[in-house]
Amino acid sequence: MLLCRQSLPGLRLYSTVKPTQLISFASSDAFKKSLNDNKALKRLGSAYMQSKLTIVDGYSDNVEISAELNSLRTLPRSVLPKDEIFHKVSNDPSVPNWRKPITKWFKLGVYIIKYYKKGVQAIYTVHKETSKLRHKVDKTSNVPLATDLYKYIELSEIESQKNKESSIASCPISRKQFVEYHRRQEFWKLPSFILLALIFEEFTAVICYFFPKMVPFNCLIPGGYQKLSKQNARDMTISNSNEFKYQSPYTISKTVLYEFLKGRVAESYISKSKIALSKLSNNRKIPSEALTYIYQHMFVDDWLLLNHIFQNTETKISFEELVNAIMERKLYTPEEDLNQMVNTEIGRKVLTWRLLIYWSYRFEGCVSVIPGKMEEGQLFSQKWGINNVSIINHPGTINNSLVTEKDIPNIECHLPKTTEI
Amino acid sequence: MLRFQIKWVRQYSNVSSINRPLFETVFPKQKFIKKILFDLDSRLTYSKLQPLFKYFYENMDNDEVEITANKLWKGITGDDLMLMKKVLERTRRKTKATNKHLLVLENSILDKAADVGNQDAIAILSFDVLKDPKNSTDEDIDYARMLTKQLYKSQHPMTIKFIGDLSLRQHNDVEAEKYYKKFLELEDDTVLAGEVYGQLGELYFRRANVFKAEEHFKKSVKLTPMDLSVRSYYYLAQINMNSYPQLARTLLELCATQGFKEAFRSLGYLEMNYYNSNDKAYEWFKLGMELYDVECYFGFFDCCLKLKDTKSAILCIKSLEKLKEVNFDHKPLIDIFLASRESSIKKLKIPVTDSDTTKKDVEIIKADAETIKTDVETTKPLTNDDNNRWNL
Repeated sequence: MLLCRQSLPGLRLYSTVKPTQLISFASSDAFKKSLNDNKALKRLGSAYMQSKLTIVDGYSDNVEISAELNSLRTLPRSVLPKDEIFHKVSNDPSVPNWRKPITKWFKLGVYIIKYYKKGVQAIYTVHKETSKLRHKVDKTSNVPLATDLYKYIELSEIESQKNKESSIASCPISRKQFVEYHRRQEFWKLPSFILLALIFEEFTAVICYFFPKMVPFNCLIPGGYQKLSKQNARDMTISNSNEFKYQSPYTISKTVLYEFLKGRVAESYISKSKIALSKLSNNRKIPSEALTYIYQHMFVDDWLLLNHIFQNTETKISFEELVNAIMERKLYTPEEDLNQMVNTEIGRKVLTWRLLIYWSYRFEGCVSVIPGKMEEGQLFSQKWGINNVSIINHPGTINNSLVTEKDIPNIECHLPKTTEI
Repeated sequence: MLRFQIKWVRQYSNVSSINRPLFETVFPKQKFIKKILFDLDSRLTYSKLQPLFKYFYENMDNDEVEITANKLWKGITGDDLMLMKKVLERTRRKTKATNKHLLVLENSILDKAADVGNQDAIAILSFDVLKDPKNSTDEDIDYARMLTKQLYKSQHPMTIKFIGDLSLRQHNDVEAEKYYKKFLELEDDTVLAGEVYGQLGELYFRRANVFKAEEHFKKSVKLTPMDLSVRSYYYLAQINMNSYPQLARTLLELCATQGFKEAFRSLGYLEMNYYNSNDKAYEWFKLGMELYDVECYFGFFDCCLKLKDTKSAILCIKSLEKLKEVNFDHKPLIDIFLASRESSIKKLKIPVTDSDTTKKDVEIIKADAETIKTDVETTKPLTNDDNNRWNL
């Protein structure tokens, strides 16, 4: 659009900026070219290769995760320690051999019950702790927290850019608080879940497996999680185009709009009944506004993570947060078991690179990824336009291809571990 | 306290009393005035004030008549006169029209208020001289300075605000901020404070201190009626444009109700590009075009193409071409626009025929262009002072 306006400092109505080139890793050379074109990719890739950004097992005793980033208590475990429990029982001499099979399953059952108990307690605590979090940003506001934070970040970036400051003012709340505020809604699943547990007792786990949406998120077991991720996976037929086009939540087609309203993030902003009613009454405003909130939620989450990576010497993300980030951004195919992937080294690399490429595409040239040189960067909304939903869940790659195991050598060969950030 | 001898405001009172219409014909309806009195929390009723208005109106040119000797004057103070002035001022704002007779009456009441020693009236008159010294004699300027000094010493809030306004006119933002803050220390919950919050907001906005600016704009809209804080509404809309377009739209619509020119184009683009509501955008651009906002012409053209309204699009292009010829300031911008829309314009196949309709259209455009020429020449950019002469 030619008619951009920038009558006021740093504020612009519509994007006129040339979009970032899509990243290609089809060959080693193609990725090298992408690396040269995209500074954000180079910086993020280097940070990852230099172990400044690491993906760690948050439940491991000798590993410490970045406390202000991760919220382990609100996420389901990526792996059920079934083998560990079975192994322990097998090696326990106090348990006679004939009783071992029963003991193994009994101990697993006990573990799951404790897991549920911990999950329920965590949800209650999070709900209580985050009740006053809203006041930290703007207590008078009646819009979702994501919108307020989106505005806060943007205005902070404008101020930093115009006043030529070296860094952006920190966000009033941490990423952990932000995601916990968002996940606190799981609290409302507790009554039905407790009722379910009372009725079905030991069969609750089976019910949870078949109906994962009924279970509080942090009480899911990996099997249930996979089912949920399959349901949430995006419809690949409605993929983002290679050609950049500004699209607001009100200009996209209804099919695409309702497709975007599927998934865990969307559930926080619009209920299924509201979607059904909107479809029935041909209401455009409610679903479009919900999509705006989702867009802003994703931006805030991305920004908080990137800000941590660039402002700190070390960023440690847990397996569970990585899996959740991939699921929320829909950077996977329905066939993939994310929990299984994150527990293997190569799978972890695949998931991490998907996330890094996704960020690089979105934030290339933005103020957020070039701290210290604010005046050279642009605002996210300057780059993409106001709430440009055409980039929601865009993997940032040509033909929307996702990184697979075989692409890793092509990618990592260009980023030696000694590269300076 | 101080008696005014200078006829500062008499520049408005040149209307001959012979030609003056009857008071009843120019003075607003009882219901209207009563509402304003209620809004202003007046201690005096309509029945008490109306005869006073009438008396002032009928004796505006008669300097010999002393109202203080009249029984109507009983219990009337300088503050009451200022309230009467505010009533007339609000009438002007609400009706968006200025009746020259009522304006003279307003100034006459202000003079009287200054005569009886009302500090606000004195401050207004002094500031009126100081802000435009070219139209006053040296004697007047010195006298106004002396009065302002005295009022400043007595910590008169309005005077402090006026000094801030003067500093702002001289582009001395630091001084202006200092005086505005001082004013807010004395008075922070009045309509005047709302205006000061608005000024401070703009000051911070210029310095890219957006959070502080937003905070001040919010306070401004809370304290002042919309017609006085329309700029604050507009700035708030701009601040929220990227993050909360729905709120921005509402704020801009409020600005549009007050005829704020800049709001139309923003609304048009927002409706067209974000909300995909071309019909609404068409109307907003059309209103903006009536105010000769060149960007509204651009938006209108795009909107016409989207709505497949070829005839209006052709007319719009022709108007732009005429506008380009008469207004050299807009020429580069129009050239860029026309160049960027070259292919669309070619597709429109603008007729150069002499069919009746086209001839008629061209005549209309020519007439339009002439009006534009004169209007653009006479229209000054909206400044705060134009918008708010008395700062009350």
